[in-house]
Amino acid sequence: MSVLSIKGLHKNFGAAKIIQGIDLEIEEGEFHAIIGPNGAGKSTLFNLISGQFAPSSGAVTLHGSRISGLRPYQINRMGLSRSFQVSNIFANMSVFENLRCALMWSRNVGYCFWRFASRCGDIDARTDSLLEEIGLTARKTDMAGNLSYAEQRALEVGMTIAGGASVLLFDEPTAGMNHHEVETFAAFLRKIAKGRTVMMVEHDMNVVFSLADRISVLVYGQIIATGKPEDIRANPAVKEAYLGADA
Amino acid sequence: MKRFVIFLACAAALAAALLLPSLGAGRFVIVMLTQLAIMATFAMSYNVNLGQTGLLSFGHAVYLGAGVFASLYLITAIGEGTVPLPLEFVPLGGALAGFILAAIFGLVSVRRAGVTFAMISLGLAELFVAAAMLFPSVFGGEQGVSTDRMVDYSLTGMGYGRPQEIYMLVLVWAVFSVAAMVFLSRTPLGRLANAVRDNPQRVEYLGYTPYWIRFAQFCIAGTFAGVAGSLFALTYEIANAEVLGLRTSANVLIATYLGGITYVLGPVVGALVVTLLEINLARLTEAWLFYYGLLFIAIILFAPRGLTGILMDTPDAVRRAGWGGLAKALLRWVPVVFLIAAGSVILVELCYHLSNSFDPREPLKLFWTEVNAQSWTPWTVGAVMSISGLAWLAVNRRNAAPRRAQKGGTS
Amino acid sequence: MDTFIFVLVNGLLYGMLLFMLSSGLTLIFSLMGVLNFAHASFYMLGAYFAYQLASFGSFWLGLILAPLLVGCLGAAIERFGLRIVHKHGHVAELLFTFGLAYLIEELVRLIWGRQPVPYRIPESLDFTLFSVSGIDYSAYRAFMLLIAVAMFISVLLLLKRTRVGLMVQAALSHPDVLWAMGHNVPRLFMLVFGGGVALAGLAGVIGGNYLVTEPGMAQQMGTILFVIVVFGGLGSLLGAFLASLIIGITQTLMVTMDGTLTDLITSLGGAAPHATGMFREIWTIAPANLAPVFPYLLLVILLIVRPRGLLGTRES
Repeated sequence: MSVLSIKGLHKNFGAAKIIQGIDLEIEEGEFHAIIGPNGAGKSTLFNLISGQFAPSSGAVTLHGSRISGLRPYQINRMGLSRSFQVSNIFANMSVFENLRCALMWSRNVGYCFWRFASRCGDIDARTDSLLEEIGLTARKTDMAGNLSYAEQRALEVGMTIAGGASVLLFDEPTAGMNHHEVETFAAFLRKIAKGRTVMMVEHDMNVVFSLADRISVLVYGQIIATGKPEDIRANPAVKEAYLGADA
Repeated sequence: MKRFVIFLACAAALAAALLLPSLGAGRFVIVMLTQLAIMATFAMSYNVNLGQTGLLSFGHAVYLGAGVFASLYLITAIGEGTVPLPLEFVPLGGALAGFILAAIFGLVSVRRAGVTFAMISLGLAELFVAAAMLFPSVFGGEQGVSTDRMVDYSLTGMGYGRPQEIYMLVLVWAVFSVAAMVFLSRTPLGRLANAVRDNPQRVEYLGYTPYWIRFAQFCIAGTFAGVAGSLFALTYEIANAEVLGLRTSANVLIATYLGGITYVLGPVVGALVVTLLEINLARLTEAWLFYYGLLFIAIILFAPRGLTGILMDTPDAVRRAGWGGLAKALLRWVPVVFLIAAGSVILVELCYHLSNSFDPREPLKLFWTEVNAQSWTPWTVGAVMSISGLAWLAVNRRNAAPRRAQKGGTS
Repeated sequence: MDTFIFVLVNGLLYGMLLFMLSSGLTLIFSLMGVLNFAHASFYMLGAYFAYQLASFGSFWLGLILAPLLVGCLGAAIERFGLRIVHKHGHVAELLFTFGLAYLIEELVRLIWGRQPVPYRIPESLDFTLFSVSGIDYSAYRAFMLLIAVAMFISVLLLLKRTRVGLMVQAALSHPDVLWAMGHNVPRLFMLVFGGGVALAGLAGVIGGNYLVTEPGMAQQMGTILFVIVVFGGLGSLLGAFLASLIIGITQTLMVTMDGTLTDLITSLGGAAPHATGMFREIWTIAPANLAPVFPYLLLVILLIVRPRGLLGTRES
């Protein structure tokens, strides 16, 4: 059974039809990449799945229950977490606080105001191990806004996985990185994706083809092909619509 | 090291506050310290909204006022024997009043932060004040509501009639409230509030609703503003609806911002500075509110992290520039600041003397001399000083600009 | 019926005065994202400048020069103050204009004193234009209406016909595009801020002698102004127009109405309630007393029902 299933999804902004009928099944443990030219609706698709917008029609279900139309925090509590294309962190807080806030809900801390944050179960220890995992232990007490670009991207991903969600959406995780940073980061993403279901929008084809189990090609709000990387590479329609323009 | 110094400073301040009355400090000092303690509590509660949660409120006086009036009635009721509560616990009533009002107003106002919230807070506060004016039976109209804190029922058996006694009570509650707010800022809720301040959208993607976080913080702020209101009522024993007005809200906003909203104890520093200014500057010049406003604008423009920010940054700046660099910087800026400040003070005082004193022909005491405000001489001196100061400032800035550009614009 | 029309016309006049202020505020907000807390302070400065100029020369001198002076002052404040805090975000800008309002009020007290100044209607306009069933309508009111209408037409023409106007329009409908157009945005901001507060200054010139010129006039006008822009929907000119008229007319109407709950009960045949205890005034409050509360009440109700405001599309 698929973990995340999208059926007949449409989204209009006024007269503009951004998403025009998407059907997609994401399998358990799969690493699924979404590619497509600029303006194809990739970010809108993520916003629809994660609850930023409600769809005009169609449905998204997570583990068999409908999530389209729910608020982002409700969807997050059901085990779906996303990262953002532009780093979306708490700039005036330390790296440690950023991560700790990100894992509070999953540790049942709630809106607790009667205990020091550091005394709420093992959240400090978990934050430390998460820091280790994303390689930011050395920057623990620095303001998140003062991190380098690549470090902010790492923190962004760290905050996305902190809550222990089983389904992750990564929106252009390597955007704006240099070649060397991209390579390190792709390895990092592969490590993180183990045991989780991942959907990723990405422009860097090397990253896409090295990480993805399956790829969907989104053009003008519709999916024109879905398949294994080698099938997508060979698909004439994709070549024409998308890869052809690059080659 | 820095932390240790801060801790020492806090401990010293607390010890001084506790010991001053028994060391035989005069009535004037006691009255000032009481005012300071109330203001510190109020400003701290304001910063729960502004600094911690990013909610700029123009109506915080309303919650103070709720505490004030609830406490005035409560004290009277205790005095009459209808409410069996020791006088020391009156602030609990103020807290409850502040909390209830904040919970009601919070529900409709914290949906949005930023400019929308600011305007709604202003509208709600004006609504409350205008409504209060309609009910002299509750808010006492012009002459206000008064009470007598000399009640028989107190926990310690003390009478709390004298300023020293009420000061101790106010101080205990103020220290407790400040400590409680510092504690709250370190709980998960306090941390989440900072997150909501920085980026509410992301918080929603972490499983939390920014609305409830803002609401909870707003209620906490209202509760402690209510406590501050109780302390006000206990100290002055009288208040009218003016205490609810925009002026009170403006004062607490300015005090908090002057102190520095990014520091937990910044508001206490702000309260200290503002109380000292209010009491001492007001004795020196009638135009003190104007200087107060100028200081506020200067802080917004040039030191957005407030006086605490300046205090905290100075050691690092000195270390970086060395003593020679410090001397150079002082040499560069002190004369400029002096010229502008002295020049404008002269002009302002002259202006004030001409338009607001009983007899403009009387000589005006200015610094150490007496001048005739109707002759041209003092006006010329003031104008020349300010204009040359401003010109010097422009030259300094132009000289500083290219060097900053060379450094790569990382300032 | 005549009285009613009369009150309506007066309300319309008050509404127009409010719109002279709220239009500038809205323009500045939609373009720069700055909610100018000091907007009503510029209105006050306009009145005081006009008073000063009237005492030097004539009212007409003030009518022309005072708005210009206010506009230049506003442009200078934008250039040397607001622009510095711009990088710290909208809340910092709001704080800055708030400090400015505080400072201007103190400045006015400093220069012109605490008491109202005798800023009077010019003699040449101080006569009765016409009177209907014993009520006089003064020529000055007609003149105010004329100025207000003339101002709207010129602003409209400015927006429709000039280059700067077109840029402002573009920025109103698509706030993000402006930066991409390659125009001199800082200068545009300075112009619009100066122009917006000059409108407020003009409102002060013609409103200051119609109402009262005193240091508290800015705060009194300011809070109502914010109610109007939030009520109309932040950033909507049409919304600000409707809200100005609605609040202007209802407030004026309410002042003329009497009748209390006690009256209502007795007229229905009930016994007059025995008024004791707290909140006993509730039985004797007339709509006239409620006039100052009304705008805020309207705001709160609207915010609960429709948080975007009357015609707002954007939420801040």
